[in-house]
Amino acid sequence: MPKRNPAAQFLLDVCAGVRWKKAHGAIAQELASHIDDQTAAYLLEGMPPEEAEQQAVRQMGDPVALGKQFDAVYRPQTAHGLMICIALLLLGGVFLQICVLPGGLRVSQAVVMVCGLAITAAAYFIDFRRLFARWTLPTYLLCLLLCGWLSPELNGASIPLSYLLLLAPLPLCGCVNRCRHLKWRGLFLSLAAALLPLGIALFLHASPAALAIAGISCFLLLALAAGTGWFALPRRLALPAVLLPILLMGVCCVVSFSHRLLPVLFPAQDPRGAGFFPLTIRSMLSDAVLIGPGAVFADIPNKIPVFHDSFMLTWLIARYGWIVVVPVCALFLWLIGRGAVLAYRQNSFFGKLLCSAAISVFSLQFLAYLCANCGLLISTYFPLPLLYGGNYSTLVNLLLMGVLLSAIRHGSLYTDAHMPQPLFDYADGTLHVHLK
Amino acid sequence: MPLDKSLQSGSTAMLLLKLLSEQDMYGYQMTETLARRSDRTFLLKAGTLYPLLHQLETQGLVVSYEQAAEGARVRKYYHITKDGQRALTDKQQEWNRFTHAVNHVLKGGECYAKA
Repeated sequence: MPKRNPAAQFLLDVCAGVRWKKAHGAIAQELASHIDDQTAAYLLEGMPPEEAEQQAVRQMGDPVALGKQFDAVYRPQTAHGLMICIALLLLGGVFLQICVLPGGLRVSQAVVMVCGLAITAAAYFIDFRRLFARWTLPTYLLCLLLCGWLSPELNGASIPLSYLLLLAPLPLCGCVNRCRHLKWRGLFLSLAAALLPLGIALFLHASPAALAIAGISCFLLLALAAGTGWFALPRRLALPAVLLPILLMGVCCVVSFSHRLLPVLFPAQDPRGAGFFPLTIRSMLSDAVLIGPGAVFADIPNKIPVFHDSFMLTWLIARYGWIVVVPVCALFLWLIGRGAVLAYRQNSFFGKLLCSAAISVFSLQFLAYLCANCGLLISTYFPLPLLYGGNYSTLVNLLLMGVLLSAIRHGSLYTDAHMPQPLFDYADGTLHVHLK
Repeated sequence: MPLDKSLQSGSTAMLLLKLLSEQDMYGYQMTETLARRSDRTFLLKAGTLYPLLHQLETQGLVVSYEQAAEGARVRKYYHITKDGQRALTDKQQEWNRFTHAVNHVLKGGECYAKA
């Protein structure tokens, strides 16, 4: 067996004391760098190379004690609060379906929930950097194409394709991460990675809600990258370069789906009758009371036949009063806020991007659902995530939560090359905007 | 005469934050700078330095980033955050109060609560 050099043996002995195996690489790299620097200093003093290395290793101290100290500080970050919130939402949904809402919990929903939790656990324990390698984006685009071609359409949109599109920001994060300092080439590659799935989905009839949510989320991620100088381009050029294509895409979508916007803006004047839903929702909510059933509660099943999917919150408000909004909104807002805070605290920009992607898609679904249940949208294609979701919704949102938890768990292991420069900086009572 | 380690342990974080408030540094650079500035009074070992740096990073007082060094090596640099600057100011004020009180007692003076 070949004899290891003292430095390599020292690093092995230190890492043997650290239980979190994924931290071994980061620890070994940093300590090896320290030993190299110390050895170089001894060589400059005239020490022979072998003696210099041995002395440098001796200077590091006892490897066993060092391993124990590292073990105490290198621990995977488990976001217990987020996990509890996710569990409460899922259990709340089960309770609502079994005890409150008519219809009960179907066996398929229970099976999907278990599968979804397995996906969350798998995503949580796998290092997020392995989840988004070079092959992720091409594989995702292929899945989009297959899904769009093979899945049937309902009311002019493909349901599985629409849910799959919600995951588009995730492979985009991997692509943006690999485009660091590639200047215009990196920016255009990232733009292509954002616009390709949106274009494919638009062509293959994804729902406008899915296009809007995925598009806004992708735009936010690209703006974040351009705004922090990720592509090594001046911000005054990079931000408009990101904004314009996304705006153009948005204009195309608005023109394509303008017939869906009119009933929202002018529900009473919509000739097709789709404005019926917003008008009815608004009149029901105006009759709702703080606690207890509203005046028109009994009429809901007749007026809104899809209430238990798209308008569950309206039904709950009409049945139990506005008080039900408090726990529902509190849970969602806490989850979104906490996720945003943990995203901000991520060491690496890739971790920040992934957390932002997961939280933005999740919160946009929640926002769209709230707007529909306040009569500000015709309907929402997506049910309330986690709390009352169909099979596809549960799977997609549990995957998003798994990715979020994975980025938080493993985030401490990774750092970026070079300090990213913030776009805004507040110091000495002055707000500085760095456009260079 | 070697320094009592208990005197040093509470102030190491403050010393590291002070170094980083002047410029970004990597681990070995911090140990060397600290040793030279303190006339080799503070000889920080890797076993003290790196766990402490990781703790400061977890608390959000410092952030780290990598930069290429000579050859194929990559060095991990540390940068103090705004929270770290505030923590440093607080620790310095605490230290000044502490040393002022200790010096005051060591000067001697009147006894209180006589029997």
